[in-house]
Amino acid sequence: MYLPIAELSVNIFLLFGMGVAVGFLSGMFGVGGGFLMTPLLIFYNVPPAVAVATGTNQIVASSVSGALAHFRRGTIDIKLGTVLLVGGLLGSGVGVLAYTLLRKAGQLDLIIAIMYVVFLGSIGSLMVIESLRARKRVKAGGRVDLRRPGQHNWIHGLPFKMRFRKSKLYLSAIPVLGIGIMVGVLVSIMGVGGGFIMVPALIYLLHVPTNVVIGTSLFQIIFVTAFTTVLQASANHTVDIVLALILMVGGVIGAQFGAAAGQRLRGDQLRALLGLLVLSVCLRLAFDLIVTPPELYSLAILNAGAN
Amino acid sequence: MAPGVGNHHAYVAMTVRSVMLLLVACLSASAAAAQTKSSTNAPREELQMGISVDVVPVTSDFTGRQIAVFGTIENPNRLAQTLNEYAVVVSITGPVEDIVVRRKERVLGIWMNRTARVYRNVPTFYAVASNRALSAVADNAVLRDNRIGVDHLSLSLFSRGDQTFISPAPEFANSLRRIRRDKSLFTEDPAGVVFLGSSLFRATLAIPSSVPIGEHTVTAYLFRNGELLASRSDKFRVERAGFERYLFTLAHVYAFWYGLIAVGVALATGWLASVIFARK
Repeated sequence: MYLPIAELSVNIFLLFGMGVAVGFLSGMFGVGGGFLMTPLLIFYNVPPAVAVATGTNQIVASSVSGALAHFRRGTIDIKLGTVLLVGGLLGSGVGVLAYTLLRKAGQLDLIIAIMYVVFLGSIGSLMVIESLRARKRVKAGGRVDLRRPGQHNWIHGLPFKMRFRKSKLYLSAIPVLGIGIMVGVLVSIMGVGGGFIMVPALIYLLHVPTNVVIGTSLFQIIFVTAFTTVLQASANHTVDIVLALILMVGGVIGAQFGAAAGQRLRGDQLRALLGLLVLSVCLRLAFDLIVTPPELYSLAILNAGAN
Repeated sequence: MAPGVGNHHAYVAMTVRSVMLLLVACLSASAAAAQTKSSTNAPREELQMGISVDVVPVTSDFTGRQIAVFGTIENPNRLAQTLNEYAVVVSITGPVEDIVVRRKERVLGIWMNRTARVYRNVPTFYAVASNRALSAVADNAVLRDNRIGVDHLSLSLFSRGDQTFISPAPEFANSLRRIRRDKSLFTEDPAGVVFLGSSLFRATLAIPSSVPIGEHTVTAYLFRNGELLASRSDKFRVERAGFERYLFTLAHVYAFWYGLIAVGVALATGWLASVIFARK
């Protein structure tokens, strides 16, 4: 099957299978899966620019079904989500601008790869280390306690304080906006939802209760990824709707089975597995950066839009 | 470029005259020697040709196709035909674009794009078929003047006032040719033209599934003993068709609405999934 925007002939069943596989993993681990989908597409020779923009579109679908479930359970802090969203939209605008400039300079693919290596490498190592420690504590008979409520740090001294009733927090809007902006930039350059950054940041930096973190971040991700999709489509014409649809359908189906499978595993086992998965994707990308490529030269059209 | 693309009436007159001349020539005993010597008086050879398609539609199941070009040599020289001296070359040249060629270099252990050259008006597609190897058709100077053959396509550097862009770099041009060849976007087929009769020929050129959209020019050249005698051009179009055409137009012309539709599709898929699976 020929993809009209990626300008590539692909195997529709293979892509669908990729959607199911990533959906399965994301359902199992409770993550968005964008950080797996975009590199997989790049390994499959989809141009990185198209992979990133299309991945963003696919995340809209997977986060909607997740967010709806949280909305029904009432585990979304709309106010906190909205402030995060304002930051996210700003960040996304900056990110798409950077994406366009980097693409013109011929450095987009490199920056995408480096950002993946840096983020996946650090997050993956943290997860593996953390889960190994948790395992030791479990073996030693201690309790596993991720939340450390009541702690105050420098963040609580910042101005422009707001009250977030659902999260039972009274804190400055600045760090919330800051997290939102950072996530927005990641969404547009890396084609990820940004949950893997936002969730730890909300828990560890802002002490948002764990039960509202996932729903709130999903709520923010829907709007930021939707906004980024429209921006990428307008500025760079790199959203492939056919590719996105195949991945979406595969993804939402896979997620259902993944969620069921995830319930059979312990929390620290899940985190260790996810950490290893993240690290292996990171190593694969790093390998491509370091090993001498088979073709040193690449071609790009300078005056795009002749047709 | 095409000598003697005269009007039709002149043609008919010339054809009649050529038949008479031929008769006279055949009657004379030293026909062979006389004809080659007096070729300035004899009517010049002309080419006629037709392409098998006007429009090539590209749909999702497009896997490439063959383009057939038929043509005849008019006012052929019988001796040249007997001695198999005529060489016919048929090329397809796609729409042109300015191309950036970038080279990766190792920086701090990482391979990244460092140096670049910009070439102006590079054909996005170029295929050439002939009835013998191009090196046997004419010498390199003639081929270069007429831009026949992948190695003779003109690749002129684009000046941006920046010294790094204008210093000559044959390895960049060669890489451009190599990458395009590997993708079957630049092809040469020295057996792609066959003579079906003494002056009727057929050229078969393959266009790949990645053939660029736009207007393609087909040019037929007639050579004899390394000399270009005549050439003739015609065009066909490669167009997106059906659903692909619709989507591509939408994505490029109505980009904002396309983005909104993409988001709408995603929202609907996510919502549908949550409705379907929540019931379980």
